[in-house]
Amino acid sequence: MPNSQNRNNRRKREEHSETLIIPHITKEMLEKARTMAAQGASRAEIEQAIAQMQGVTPQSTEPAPKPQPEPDARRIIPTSRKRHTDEERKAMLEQMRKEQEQREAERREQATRRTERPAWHFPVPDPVKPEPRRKEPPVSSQPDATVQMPAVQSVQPEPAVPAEEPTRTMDPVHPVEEKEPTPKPQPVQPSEKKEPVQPAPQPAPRRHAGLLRSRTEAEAELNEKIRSDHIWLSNPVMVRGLGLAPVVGAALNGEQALILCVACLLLITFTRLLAVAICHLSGNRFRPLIYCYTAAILYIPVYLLLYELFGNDLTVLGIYLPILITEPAIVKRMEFTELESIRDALRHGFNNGLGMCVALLIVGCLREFLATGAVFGHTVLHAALLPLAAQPAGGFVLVGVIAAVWCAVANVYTDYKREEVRRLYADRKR
Amino acid sequence: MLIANAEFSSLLRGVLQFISYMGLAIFAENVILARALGVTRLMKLVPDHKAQVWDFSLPLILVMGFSAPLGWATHNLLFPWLRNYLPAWLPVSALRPLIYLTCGVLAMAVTWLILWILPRKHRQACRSQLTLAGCSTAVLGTLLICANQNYTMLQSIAFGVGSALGYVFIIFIVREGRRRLRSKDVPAIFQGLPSSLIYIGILSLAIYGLVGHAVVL
Repeated sequence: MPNSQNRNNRRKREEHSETLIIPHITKEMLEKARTMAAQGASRAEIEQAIAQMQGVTPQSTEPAPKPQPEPDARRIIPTSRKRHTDEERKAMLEQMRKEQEQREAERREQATRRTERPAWHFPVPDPVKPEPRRKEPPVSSQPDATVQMPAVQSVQPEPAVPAEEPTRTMDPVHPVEEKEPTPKPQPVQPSEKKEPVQPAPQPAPRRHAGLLRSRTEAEAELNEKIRSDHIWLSNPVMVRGLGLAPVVGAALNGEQALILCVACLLLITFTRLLAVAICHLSGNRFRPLIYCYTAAILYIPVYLLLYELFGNDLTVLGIYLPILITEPAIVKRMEFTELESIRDALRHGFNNGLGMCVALLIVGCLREFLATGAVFGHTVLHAALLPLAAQPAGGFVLVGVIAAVWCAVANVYTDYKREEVRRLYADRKR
Repeated sequence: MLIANAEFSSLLRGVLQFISYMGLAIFAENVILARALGVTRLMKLVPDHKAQVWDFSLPLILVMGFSAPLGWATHNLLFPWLRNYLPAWLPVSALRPLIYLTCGVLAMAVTWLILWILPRKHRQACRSQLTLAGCSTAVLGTLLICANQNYTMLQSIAFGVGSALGYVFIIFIVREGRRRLRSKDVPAIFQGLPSSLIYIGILSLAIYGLVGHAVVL
């Protein structure tokens, strides 16, 4: 059995590079170390050079490099890069920070152009806390600096350049900034009072335009929009199943549907408005009685108005006009303990009424068309496609089919909107 | 002996009439299948497993039973008296919902008192459903139907109780149907409300075929 060579010992015979552990290494230091290693410098020399770049005195036993008139030919003295002082390093950090902020602003601007969304769709990063700046020596004191450091720019006050620009599509209101004139760049006059105040106005306008938004908030807002869309996405009849009695029992043709539309719009809107106002007075107690009696009292002027508009045609509705006062589409709100404001009650009531009107008109016209081939009394077809549509049984089936199609379309739309939100916030944390 | 037989026969006739009107209200003129009254409440009640059916049904039967004689009294006693005092521009028809709603509320109050006989747990459950059962289109619609049909008091009570029993009957039928309609064979867009409505429509069609004519709406 051949004695196989230990694979781990193979490298021992080859020349291998030493590993230098250099704390706080920068790109320049790495390049420097590589260059020196390529030129055959020893480890101690490389460490010394790196230590010089770091501005730390090496704790080695070797003496610190002193200016010698004739440098050793074998030693490589770093002349291409000068080591950075603390001021230079701070200036570099400041510049990097500004570049990063600028990149972030550009990214948000591009995203805004691409998605055409308002600025609040994009989270604004927390403003970087500015460090108190020290007095820095003028640049002229470093004549032999080979690295062009923008130290002068960092020293100069920059109140006119905001750290970040939210977007260009939205013009946020900056009441404070509008009053204050934009300070022009002034000569360097470092003062103890002004310097820490300079970055302070930057985050102030962000609070309005950049309310931090997350995907969860966006989804919650989308759900709220879907829920509050009482006409299509959250229709009281087709989606929530309210108000089925007049739709199935009385909306047999377009004319009856129109009468019910007017009645429902008036009753739903003003019942909700008046009942909420009374509930505010009663401490939100006795809601069922308040809602039902409010609708019953409002029915009197509504009935008189309808009688003026439609005359004796009201009698064809039979019991379906009076029972509107206990119809869940009108008094469903009594089951909720949350007391909404008057303005919300008016808005929601009107939207619910409109949604009910849409459902009534669609079902009424369709049933009339299927049962008699006419729409609002005007003959369209000289044949009755489905005479059963005039009966409650046909009404149930027809409303069921319409509700299925309605919900399918609404689901497709809401899924598309949810996917859109998901894509918009794909790279954000929840 | 002959007099006793006549009284007995009249009693029998009354009972028979009562039962026939109840049967009429339960099957032929079912509030849900024939007139689509209370469908929304039914749709909300059926899938709710927390709400027991009898917690809703018992107050509904009591409210409809007690409101029926009140509705008869209103139609035959109150409205003729009230017509003399109403101005010409205000027809009685505009006040009907308000007055019949008051009848329903009075029946709810009586029911609330009667529910004391129940054990505490059931009493609280029934009282929590009392307002939903009383403020229903089924109650108000039944009162209006009785008034429109000019039923007598006995007929009104029979029709009211029968309507309530018919409502409970349909609750159980729709509940069972909805349980079976949870099958995956039902297309997704028909799950829930659409399939339940179509199911009720087919039941309504069966009643329509049994009766042979449409009821007076």
